Amino acid sequence: MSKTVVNVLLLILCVTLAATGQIAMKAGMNEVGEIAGEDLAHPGDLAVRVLESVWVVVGVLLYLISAIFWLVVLSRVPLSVAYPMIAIAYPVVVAFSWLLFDESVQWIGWVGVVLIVAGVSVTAQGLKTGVVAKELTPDR
Amino acid sequence: MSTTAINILLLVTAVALASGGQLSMKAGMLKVGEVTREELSDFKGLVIRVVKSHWVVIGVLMFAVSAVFWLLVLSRVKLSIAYPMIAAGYVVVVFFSWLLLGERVTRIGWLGLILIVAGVIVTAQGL
Repeated sequence: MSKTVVNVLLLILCVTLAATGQIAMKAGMNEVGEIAGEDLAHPGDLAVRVLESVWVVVGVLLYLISAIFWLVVLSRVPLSVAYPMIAIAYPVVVAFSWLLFDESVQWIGWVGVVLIVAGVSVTAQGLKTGVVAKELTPDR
Repeated sequence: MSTTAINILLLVTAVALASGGQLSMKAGMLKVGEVTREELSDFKGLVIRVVKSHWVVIGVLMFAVSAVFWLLVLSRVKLSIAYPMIAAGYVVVVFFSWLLLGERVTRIGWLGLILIVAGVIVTAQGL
């Protein structure tokens, strides 16, 4: 497998883990309910309440595993390219928020997501440029 | 403070900590060097090398604190609106990657960034 293929696979794994982690955390926090200023007065009780939700724990774990893969990605790809690539998770998370949690997504919300995805596609062009530039540099 | 103002403040804190964490982790991994597949076979040695880089540890801690703020946000804001807000971190991370880590950002990279930021501003209208 070429380096680029491995990097893309690592990024896909990262995005999938991050997106499922967010969905699980939201499912858990929907169970916990809205946290207000008064709840922060008893941080111990609050922590117990949050951690008792299995979904929150699963979500945080998925988030942690995605962070480990993220470290591997960071060692191989410039941050200015890797970070925007993760934005593929936005439409995925918004679509699942609408499907699973019945969140009404306004048309302006989809416009925002389309702009973000367009931004990702444009920035991804930097990946090609970066790889070619690296291969063309003799001392690398 | 209005509910919206509190939600924005919580989001900004979560995003700022996440961005600072990313930059710190990248600074650390630059010292560790590229992790290849062969190094994954000596997983323990690799973990020790990564943990020894203080920047990686600081970055992971900032990431963890950011996760706490993120859970607070999730308890109060729809995921379909809160999640795209994270993209605000791009401005911070790419700008400082360019400024502090010396990464080259191509003109097309900046253009993509502007589109992403526009998307974040549009999505924020739902807050």
